[in-house]
Amino acid sequence: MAARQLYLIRLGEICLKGENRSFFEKKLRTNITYKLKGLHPAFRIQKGRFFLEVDDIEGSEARTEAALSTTSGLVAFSKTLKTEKDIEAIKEAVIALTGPYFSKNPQSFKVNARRSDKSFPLSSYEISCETGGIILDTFPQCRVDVHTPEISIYIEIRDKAYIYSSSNMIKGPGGLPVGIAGKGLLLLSGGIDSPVAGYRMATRGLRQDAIYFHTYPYTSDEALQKVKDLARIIAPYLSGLTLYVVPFTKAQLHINANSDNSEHTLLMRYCMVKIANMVADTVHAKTLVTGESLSQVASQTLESITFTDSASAIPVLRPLIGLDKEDIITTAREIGTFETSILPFEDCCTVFSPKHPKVRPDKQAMTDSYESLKIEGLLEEAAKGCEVIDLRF
Amino acid sequence: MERYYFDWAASSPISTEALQVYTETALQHIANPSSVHSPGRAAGAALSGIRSRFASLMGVPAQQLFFTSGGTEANALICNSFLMKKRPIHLVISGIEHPSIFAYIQRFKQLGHSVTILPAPGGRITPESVASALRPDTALVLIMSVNNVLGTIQPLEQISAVIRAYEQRHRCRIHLHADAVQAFGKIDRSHYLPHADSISVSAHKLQGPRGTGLLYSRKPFLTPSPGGGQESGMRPGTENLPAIAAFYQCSLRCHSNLEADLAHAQSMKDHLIMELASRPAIKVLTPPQEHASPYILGLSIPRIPSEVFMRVLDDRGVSISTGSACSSKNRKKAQRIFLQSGFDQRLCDGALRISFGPSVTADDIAMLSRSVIEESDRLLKEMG
Repeated sequence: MAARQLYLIRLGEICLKGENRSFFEKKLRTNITYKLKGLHPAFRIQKGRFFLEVDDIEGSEARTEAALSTTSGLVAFSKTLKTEKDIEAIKEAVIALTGPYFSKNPQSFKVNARRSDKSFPLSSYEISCETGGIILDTFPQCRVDVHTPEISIYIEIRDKAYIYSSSNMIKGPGGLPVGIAGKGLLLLSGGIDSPVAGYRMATRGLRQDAIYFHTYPYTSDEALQKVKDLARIIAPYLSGLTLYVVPFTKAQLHINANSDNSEHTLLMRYCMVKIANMVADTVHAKTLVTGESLSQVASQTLESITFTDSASAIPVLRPLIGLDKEDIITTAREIGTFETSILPFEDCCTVFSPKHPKVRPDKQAMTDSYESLKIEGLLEEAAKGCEVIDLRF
Repeated sequence: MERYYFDWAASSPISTEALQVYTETALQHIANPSSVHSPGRAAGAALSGIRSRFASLMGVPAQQLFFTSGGTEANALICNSFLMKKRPIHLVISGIEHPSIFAYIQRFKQLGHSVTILPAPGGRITPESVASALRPDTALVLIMSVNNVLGTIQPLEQISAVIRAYEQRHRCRIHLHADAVQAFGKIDRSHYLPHADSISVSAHKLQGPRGTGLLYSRKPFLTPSPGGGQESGMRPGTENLPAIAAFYQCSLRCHSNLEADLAHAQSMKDHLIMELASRPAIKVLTPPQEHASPYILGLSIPRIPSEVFMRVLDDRGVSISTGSACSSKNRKKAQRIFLQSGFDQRLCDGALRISFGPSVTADDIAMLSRSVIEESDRLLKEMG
């Protein structure tokens, strides 16, 4: 049997749950299990602590860390060492765990020992003193600070001794596990905002598929490739997804030829929401997700949103609606989408973007414009003609 | 799908003859031309022979020829040489230069030199604009011979006369460098060679191999990078003898057939222009025959973004080049040559470049014009 690696997982919001907590934990376990297929993940909840055990084989540490750091529902995790309940073995493990960090960053620390197994011969205080002593002996530049330590080391004596340290702590996305809130359909463009919107909703537990509107040859295949790349980058956060690529050219040209230039963008977005509703219905998504942020562009004013919302029979969630662009960019950098989003293969714009778009459209007048397009047939054709890209785990 | 290639100004297909010379030379000369053993000396002698033949083909002294990795490096040798001047200098540069030269403006400014950028109405620099830009501290004038996007031939003879007169009047020395990458072997050398102090040439625009070119400089220049002493110490690095041999082969062929090729290419270009004239929506940007290379045609279909049109033709098996990219971030940069030539934004947005070589046939041109006309008709109708 392969050796096993142990991780302590910190849950955030799940801990606030009451009787349904186990439902959330179960979903979290399922999501992690999917990501760590082949490493035989096993979970153990011990006195409020959530432990994950995986096979300790080549590459398993990197794979586990990549999986956990993109799994919403967990706030942080740290590699944990498990030893026999013997003070010498514990001291050795403490040095093995903290050594690589303290040898580069000799900082202040505190050892927090807890002894659930009262038969262990040393008291919690004595365990702290013994292990703190060996750290000071090994790394004389470190110092003890019991009030505001830079590094906290935890030792728990239970069935075995468990040792972990804040120096090994890696952040997770927080929030709630993907899948507890049902399924949505993310309107993914090649920009900065929509991947962040998808990520945000994933941290609220929403499973998502994504939809992209391709207007070849007016938008390039490079632009489509960029969207596929973005979908791949956010896939781990979303616990996998399916990307639907809608052939939108015919509909776009129809809008262009049969409506006033100032209304093109609004009608285009209305049609996109209509198609997204059709696709959502097919894939059993109960909500749409967009990267809109209030007042960012002409089609994101309250009046414009009122109109495009009216195309949807299901709620449209806009997690970025009140965020500053800088905050969105910060998140895009954190999740690794920013560099791809800013590649210069954006929508080919000039043909279809009005020079003077309507900023405060009248909903009734716009609805009349849409009705006069008589475009439903083309929208249904587009929805049925989707290219399907499977990015599930 | 059969492919039709009309992007020779970017890179031309290597000829069988050039490839053969490359292979033969590579197999025959295995040694470094700088090595002192007999295979090395043989390679050195071969290189020296090619240099002499190049010199007599161009009518210049062999010691003023320096083989480089291509046009970009040849341009860089001159720019870097002037960048190293201790005293601040003034340089005059045409607004339609290739990026391998134009990108140096920022660096010159950063190092305290001053720069005057000349506009080029209709794609041509006027001698008057050069005359008004010259200053007593002007040390370098950079004006290409044939523009790479519009194909316009610059009046280097008149520009040179203006510079020489200014030098005499002000007792100063001004270096005139001409990027001749789209001119060498393609138009008569009397347009550029006697007038410039240095020119840059690239082999792969002449159906030669990529990664080789030359700098001809009648004036000494400072070498920016010390090294193994090759190319009289001016361009260190082991010489690419097989590529240089192939480069000479295609240069010789181009110059031997120059007049016949020119006449053929001109008739092909005229035919293309005539065919395209049936569609008022297609605007030819390149000026008439006497001021332009027959191998390059700049045009624009103002309502169709150039990137879209390039893509549509590509799907039909026809390769042309966009005059610009659609990405808004780089739009101004990509459209610089058109904007500096005075074309309005609508023309810039739809700008395209068609370029071909001497082997182009009437059938190729018929296919091209048919594709351009049919696709532009279709797209313009689609777009309403």
